[in-house]
Amino acid sequence: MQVFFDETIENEFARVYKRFKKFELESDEAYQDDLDYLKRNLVVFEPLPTKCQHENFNVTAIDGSGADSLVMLNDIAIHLLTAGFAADKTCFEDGTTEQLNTRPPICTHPEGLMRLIILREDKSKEVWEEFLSFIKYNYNEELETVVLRVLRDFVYHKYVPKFPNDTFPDIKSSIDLHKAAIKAGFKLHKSDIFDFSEWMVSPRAAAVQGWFEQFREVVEYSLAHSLLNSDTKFKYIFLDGSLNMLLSPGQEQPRLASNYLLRDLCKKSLNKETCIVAVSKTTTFPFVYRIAQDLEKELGGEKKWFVRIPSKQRKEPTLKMLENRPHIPPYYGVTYLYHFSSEVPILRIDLDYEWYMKNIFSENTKIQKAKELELFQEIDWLSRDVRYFGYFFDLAFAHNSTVVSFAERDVVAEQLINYFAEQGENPKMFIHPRRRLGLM
Amino acid sequence: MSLQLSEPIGVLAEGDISFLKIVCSDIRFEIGEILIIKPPTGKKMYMFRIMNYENILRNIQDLSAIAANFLKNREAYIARVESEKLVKVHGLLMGYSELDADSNKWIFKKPRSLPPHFSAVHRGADCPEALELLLEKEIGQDLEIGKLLIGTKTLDLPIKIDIESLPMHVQVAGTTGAGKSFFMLTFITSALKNNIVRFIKQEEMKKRVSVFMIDVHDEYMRGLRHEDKRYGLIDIADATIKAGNEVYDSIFADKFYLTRDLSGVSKEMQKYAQPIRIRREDLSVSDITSVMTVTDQMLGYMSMKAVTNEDWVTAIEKESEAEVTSFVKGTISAVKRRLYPITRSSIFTENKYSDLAEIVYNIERGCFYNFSTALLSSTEQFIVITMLARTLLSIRQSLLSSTKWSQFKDQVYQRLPKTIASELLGDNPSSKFSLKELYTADKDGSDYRMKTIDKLPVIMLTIEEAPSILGSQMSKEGNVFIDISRQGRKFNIGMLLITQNISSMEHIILANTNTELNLMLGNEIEIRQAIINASNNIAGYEHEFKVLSRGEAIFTNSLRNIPLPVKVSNVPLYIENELPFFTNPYQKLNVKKAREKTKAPIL
Repeated sequence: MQVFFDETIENEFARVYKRFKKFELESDEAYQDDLDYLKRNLVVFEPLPTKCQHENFNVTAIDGSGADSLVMLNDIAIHLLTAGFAADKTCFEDGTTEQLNTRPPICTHPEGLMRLIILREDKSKEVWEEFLSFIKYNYNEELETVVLRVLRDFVYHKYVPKFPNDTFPDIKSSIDLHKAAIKAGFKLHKSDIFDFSEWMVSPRAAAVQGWFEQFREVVEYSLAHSLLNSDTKFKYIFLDGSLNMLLSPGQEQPRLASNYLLRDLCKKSLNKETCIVAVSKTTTFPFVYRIAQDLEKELGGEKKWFVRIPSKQRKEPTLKMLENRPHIPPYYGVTYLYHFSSEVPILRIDLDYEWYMKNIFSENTKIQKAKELELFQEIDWLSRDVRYFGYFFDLAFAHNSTVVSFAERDVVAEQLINYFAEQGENPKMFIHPRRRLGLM
Repeated sequence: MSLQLSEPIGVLAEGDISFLKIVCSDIRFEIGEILIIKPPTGKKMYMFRIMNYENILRNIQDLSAIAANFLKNREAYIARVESEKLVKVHGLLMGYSELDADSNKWIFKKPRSLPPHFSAVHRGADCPEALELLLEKEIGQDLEIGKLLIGTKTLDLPIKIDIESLPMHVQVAGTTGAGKSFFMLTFITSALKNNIVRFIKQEEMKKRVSVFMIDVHDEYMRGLRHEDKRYGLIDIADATIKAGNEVYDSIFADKFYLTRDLSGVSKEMQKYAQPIRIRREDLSVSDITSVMTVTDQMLGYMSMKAVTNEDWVTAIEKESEAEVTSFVKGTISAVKRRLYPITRSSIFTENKYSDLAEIVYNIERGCFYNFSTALLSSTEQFIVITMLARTLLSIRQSLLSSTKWSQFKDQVYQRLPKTIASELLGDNPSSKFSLKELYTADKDGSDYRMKTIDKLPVIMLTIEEAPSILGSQMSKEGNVFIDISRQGRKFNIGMLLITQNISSMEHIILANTNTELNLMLGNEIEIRQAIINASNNIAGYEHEFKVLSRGEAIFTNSLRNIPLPVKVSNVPLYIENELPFFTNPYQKLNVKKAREKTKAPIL
């Protein structure tokens, strides 16, 4: 486009920049207040030496990828879903790690799994049925069972403080759960919690990428679930993303099926003394770049620090910047900002709230700080591989093992079309109409 | 024939029909190693030779960026340091072996197809038995020269030169100390062993090799030392004597150690030694012109004298400048100066006695000679070898163009000086070395039918410091070595050229050589020349030449598909191991010694 090379675009740049500075200026007061809060609460820490005497542990990371609409035929879409993992044992004494020879049964190859799904996305009931069977096949449990277990747990945590002398009722059905929820004051979104299809899908499910994303999350969580259930005990399981839950305003109950899987995973991790660490690189945390710049000016770019974001649910003051972001920290999570160095963006780290309460929280701030410090020193050490300096190497490895490049996507699509052709279908029908018309 | 391969250590990454890249988890590689590539399906087994390799890390493209990261971030480390370290191996696709159903043997073929994507790669050094089967047809079958070298490992897989290749000439190149002498002694030991085996098994003469060997440093008799061991030809000869006269006679001339005079020969070698004496009459003008530069005037003068005088050298020696008017002044003096190495030599005598006929005769019956030239000038040495080569070529030429003894005689008289011709033909009453019994097959009336050349042994003439006489400055007119290099194959006469300096060799000679053993070479020019001249394509072997150690070589032969890396035998050890064979060959070969034939009683 010629317009990209004349001064019209520069005028547009100027207009955009002006707006950008306006955003900063408008929110400056709120930002400064929040910055003061963060400064007061952040913890600067010294990293562990590369080689040190420290108790070794196992760690794993999971990442998912795939190809949304690998091939499309009118309303039929075929999606490619992949998930990969990397698992290591630390060798603090040698300043390296050792790859673990773990292969959970779900894996279709040594580094993860691959699935293809075919959906008629306008047939919501049919897609939902497919989704349920996909969860059963991969997560190895019925969604119903998972949902019941997770909700029971929510209700339990409300019930017990309210009726400390009562025995928590034995919940075997949705009716039992419903009764207990009413008694505990836990508001269920639906009285019939198993009538999922109407509500337990993403509002974006019907949109482009909607279903693909939800299936992809199932694959990722299923792989994590399988790793958690393996014989290897992991101290940390890294997930790519956040622990965000979709909750309707005023609700305590997550909306999405994948949210339940994630909660279930967190709960099972807690029982196995495994810490789920969700890592966001491109966080929606507002002005995090400004925070980095301002704090680096004060502390120096190479200082490592972390700070916990206060949570409204826990009666802490809300950061002004986050007033319109009720999902930060997530409803059942604890969020930290973690600064590695000036070379690396600030990472948002989400931990499970229950794990946090059990393993980090203390009424004694000194004890809590010491525990936080140990946690961050350990995860800092896990982000010091020279190739991905400042990022968790297992997440990077997992990403590399699972990411589907455009070239690979094309190869798989071609193979798929060839397969269909071998079965007697006309391969031309899969070629995108725009390509057939010579428009791409 | 099933192959037992070791655990795979790599996967084929990319490549074309000649050059491949392989990613390997095993990082203990050495240049020159052979890898075996096994496709998931099919019966071809590919072989790949490492020419270079680079360190890589999994999941990373740019190692320099990583190094820079390390420099900047001292607290960085490499996770999975052991499993992430990989090497990308670059090298040549040598070809593939395919199992021949009829012979149940693996047949090696030059690369005409690529191994499929991501084929598994196995290390050859980890499965030498498999490698031996795959290369069975490539490693040769007659004269052992060393063992297959894989990286720095030597496999117990003998590499051999085939006798049929010898008349197409062998070139051995290497810098001082590279292992040329070790090769020579290994070669001769192997040739002697071959000759005994063929003799005892009563095989055809064409499978035997007569070697006339030049011993410049007088080191082959006593042997070459390695650590505390030293074995040489004298040990082999002593051992063979124990095997009996007939065995000894089948491989050695009675006095096979030729030297200028016996005064310098130690007592234990005296029994094998003979002072070499050649009649000046046996020389031809071309012997002189082959080894030194002469002007047309000088050539004209020598030729004129040779026509009129059988002993033309002495005639020239005695001629005074004043007597000759038809040549430019100074010509006679110049010719005399050229002939000084002959006229002053004790080898070339004026009297009627010559060892030439005996040497030729013994060579023609498959015997070995070691010519010690330590006390000789290089011109003396070159003239002797030239004259011998010319004489041998002449008689074999005569043989090729004759079917009857009478024809042969005519031919010989035309080609050789009269006296030596008459000795070799038995026309001289004092001659004990008539070729008649060796060259004729049976009687045909009053005449005799001649044998064909392929019923005679292969003759190998070694030429040390080859560029001195076969250099690019050599005279090409009437030069016997040019003829041998071009036509040796026809006459079963081969040259074994030993040089430090391939680049100075005459191109015609190099072009006619079909077997090369290139040891450690002195410089880039020599390496380039070795690569250009090799009978197999060894482009890309530059790296390998640079890492060759003493005794390591690249062996190429036009009749084979691939160049082979060789570790030349540790010769004292090799001879030591073979001595029991020379002492008792019948037992070693499990052949019963034939009794002396007794004449049948006349009834």
